[in-house]
Amino acid sequence: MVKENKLVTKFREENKDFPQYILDEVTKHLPSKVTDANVKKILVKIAEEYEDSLISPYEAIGVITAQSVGEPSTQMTLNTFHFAGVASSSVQGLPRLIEILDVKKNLESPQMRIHLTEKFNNEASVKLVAGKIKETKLVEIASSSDIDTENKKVTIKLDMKALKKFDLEAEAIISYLDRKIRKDSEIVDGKILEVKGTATSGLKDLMGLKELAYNSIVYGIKGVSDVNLTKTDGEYLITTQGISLKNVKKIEGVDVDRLFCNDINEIFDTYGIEAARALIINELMEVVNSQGLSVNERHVLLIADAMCYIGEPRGMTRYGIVADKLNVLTKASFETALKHISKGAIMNEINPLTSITENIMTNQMVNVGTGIPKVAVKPRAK
Amino acid sequence: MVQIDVYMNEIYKGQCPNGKSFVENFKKSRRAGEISSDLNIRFDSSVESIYIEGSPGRVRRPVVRVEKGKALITDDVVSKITSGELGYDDLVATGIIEYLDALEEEDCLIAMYTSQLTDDHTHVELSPILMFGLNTGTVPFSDYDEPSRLMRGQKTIKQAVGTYTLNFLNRKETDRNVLINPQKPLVGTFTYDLLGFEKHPAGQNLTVAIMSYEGYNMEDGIILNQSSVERGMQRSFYYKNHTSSEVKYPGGLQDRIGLPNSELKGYRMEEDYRYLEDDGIIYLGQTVGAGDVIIGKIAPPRFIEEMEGFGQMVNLNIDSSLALREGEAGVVSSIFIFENNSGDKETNVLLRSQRSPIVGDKFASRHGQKGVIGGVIPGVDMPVTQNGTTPDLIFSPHSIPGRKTVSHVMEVLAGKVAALSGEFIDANPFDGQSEEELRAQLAEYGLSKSGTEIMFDPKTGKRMEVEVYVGSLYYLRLSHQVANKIQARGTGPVQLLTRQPAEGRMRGGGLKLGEMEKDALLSHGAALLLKERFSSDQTTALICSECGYLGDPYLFNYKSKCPICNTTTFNEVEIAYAFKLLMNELKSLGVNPTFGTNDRFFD
Repeated sequence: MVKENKLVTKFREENKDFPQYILDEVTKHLPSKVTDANVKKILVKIAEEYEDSLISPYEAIGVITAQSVGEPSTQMTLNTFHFAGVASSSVQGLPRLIEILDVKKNLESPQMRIHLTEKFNNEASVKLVAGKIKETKLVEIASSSDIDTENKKVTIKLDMKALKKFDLEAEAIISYLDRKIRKDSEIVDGKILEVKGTATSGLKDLMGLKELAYNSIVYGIKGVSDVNLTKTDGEYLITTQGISLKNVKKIEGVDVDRLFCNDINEIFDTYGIEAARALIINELMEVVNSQGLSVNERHVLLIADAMCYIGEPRGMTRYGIVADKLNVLTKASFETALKHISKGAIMNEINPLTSITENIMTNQMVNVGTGIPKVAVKPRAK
Repeated sequence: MVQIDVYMNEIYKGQCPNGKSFVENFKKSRRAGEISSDLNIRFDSSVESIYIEGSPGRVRRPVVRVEKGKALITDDVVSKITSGELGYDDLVATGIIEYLDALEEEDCLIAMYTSQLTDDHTHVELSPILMFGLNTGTVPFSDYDEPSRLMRGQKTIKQAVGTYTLNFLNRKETDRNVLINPQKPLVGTFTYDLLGFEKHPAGQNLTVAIMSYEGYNMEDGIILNQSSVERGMQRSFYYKNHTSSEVKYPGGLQDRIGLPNSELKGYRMEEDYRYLEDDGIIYLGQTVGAGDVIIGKIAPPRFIEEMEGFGQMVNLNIDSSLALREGEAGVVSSIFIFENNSGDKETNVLLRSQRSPIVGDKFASRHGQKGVIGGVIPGVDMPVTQNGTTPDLIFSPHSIPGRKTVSHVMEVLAGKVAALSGEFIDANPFDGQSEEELRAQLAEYGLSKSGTEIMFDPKTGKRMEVEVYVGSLYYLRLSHQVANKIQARGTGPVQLLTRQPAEGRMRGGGLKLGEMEKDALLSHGAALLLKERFSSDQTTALICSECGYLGDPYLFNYKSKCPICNTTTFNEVEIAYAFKLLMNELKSLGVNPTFGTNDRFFD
């Protein structure tokens, strides 16, 4: 730790409101041999710069943020990138931006990034964990199947080698089967699965039963369709397609502190609102930066705050943060005007002229910028 | 033996035993003229099928046939062509030139030049310039350019003002532009000969200096020499057709073109009709301006009831004369009267106005380098070369490196050589004159090989620090002229319903300040400006002090009363009329919005 300059310490004590982290930075970068006069100059300059970069009262930061993010987004490519050669593909660009801002469920390319604890950070256990995460359907462990229309049953021959690979007992498979067919199934000879139909079922019904059985997930986590292993700086990383944080968390060896997924709702459900806010910021910055554009992080911070301040992530939609606005006319000017006006009329809502939209509509002074200062006149006593 | 399927226009027709010989015989018969030359054939050995294609809409192109490594256009054929013995159609009919489509191309090996021919080749290209279309082919030195620039170049070439037809005075288009003194380009391509461009050129060869000057040519602006403009450079005529017809209405009524009298409904000022002759049509050769009537027309009453308004027979014929709108002006060039397609008598008045280049008019070279005049500078203030030449046009050098239009730079050089030698320069892509040749020729005239020249600033008399690239460039005047587009408004017509300003140039409307523009003002915190800019429909509304009802009070005993609570005290508020309208519409829907008021000064 570098010893702090006397003058900086003095400045710190004198200006309690001044952000301390800036002074920390000064201490970090101050050369060891520096004259007191220069330190004074530096501190005065820093104080000036800080004063300049403060936002003035009633500056329309929301509009500036909207413009600062909106303008670069017009230059974004509309299509999604699919990187050739890499198994995992991800949605980028404008579609992803909309996904984040609307806090959409069911993402176009859901992803998890799973780090492992130190103990499990070796190839063998990584593969084992990855196998536990990737969903395995019955098709993958079946060697052949037969539809018996006379006895109304489907017989599926199991691949014993594959069963061994997944550390599965043939008898245990029945418990993994789809609930509809679980009752009518049984294991014959320890390696053949039989699914019985009813007396009236025809070929088509039996085919349906076969499909149900084949698509039953016998191993792994439902929804994780693919896993990918990479190694950087001696650390293994599992990238998945499909998200299920709830189940991944339970797997032994997974480093829960560094578990990542790109679904805001999932992160919120598992880790809470602060994590969701951090995710929104990171993902927005990544989308913008990946397109070669630059947006100041403060704008993104404001967006994330606006989306999260209520305690749960809210999208920039008419169901999200616009629905939380107080004034009827503001809401009506966004979308579904009829709904908001009729609701406002029924509930006898009062709409004070506080927001910009209404003041523009009624042609009154906007309460932003120069619209705020007023001349105070003392009325003459009557 | 495998039988080969034969498909005609993708419909199965039959089978044949030997695909190769079938195709060869087919082609032989086609070249002999026994089968239509519109058909193309291909033998696809991978699927053992023969495809014959004759459907309309295929893209086909002509190539010269090659036999045993020799092109069929021999010296003998060439001499016959030059003597006029053979025409193009004969070459196609005899199979010397063949049209290939995408299908038959698969079976062919086509050489670009005859010098590249080997025994394997089946065809040779007529000329590399054919890879460009008619428009793109007119770009000189197009082989120096990026393809996307050629596309932009041909797009502006299509907008050029020129002599687009020789009978433009007798045609019936709404508007047309004609360049007064068109010139043949000094630097041209083979395509110009094909087009007969000499007969209807569309541009002028201007002396161009590539430099920045006084800041009037930044961001694609160009500077014109006022002296050149006054001598008639790039001057054009703009013709506009004004039409009015005697429409026949059901019930035997009909419009009549004639001199309207003051009893008509909608009669204008007497003065507006001063140029009309007795037949109701304007004098030939008369100069007219905005508001002047050019065709007088009397229309019958629109509704029959109107005729008997208040039980009286009133003549309610309407004056529906055709008058010039704001911004329109010109000289009456010609008048046509004829019967149109619907059988009505139609009167056409063609107005001509002379358009000298002014600030804001759009110009372009043939390389996608379009720009707008930023300034017209007096000839005495234009920079001068050593031999006393002043450029007609100054073009900004910043427009070149980012767009990589090397052909633009090449044309300046070639144009200079052409102007000095008096000979047209061939700028065909791939086989035009080379840069070295041009530079060598330039040196012969005692000029710098680089094409640059020493220039002087006439205002100070001092030599400019750098040498300036000067040459001749074929410039096109584009049909986008400010005179047709300029729009400004102080006050003017408003919409009836919302009392907001009308929209559109023809209606004297304002320029819209939309939502995004509003945000721009807002982010600067310019609240007062925003209020003023949106105050075009401001009204004073009365709000009942008791019940807050916004609306129009009724008069009773010389007192204004609120229709809801009968109070007589109201608060005046200044609000947008459109907002008041919205509130009234809500009332009509059964929602009664009420308002509380504060004193503006003491709240």
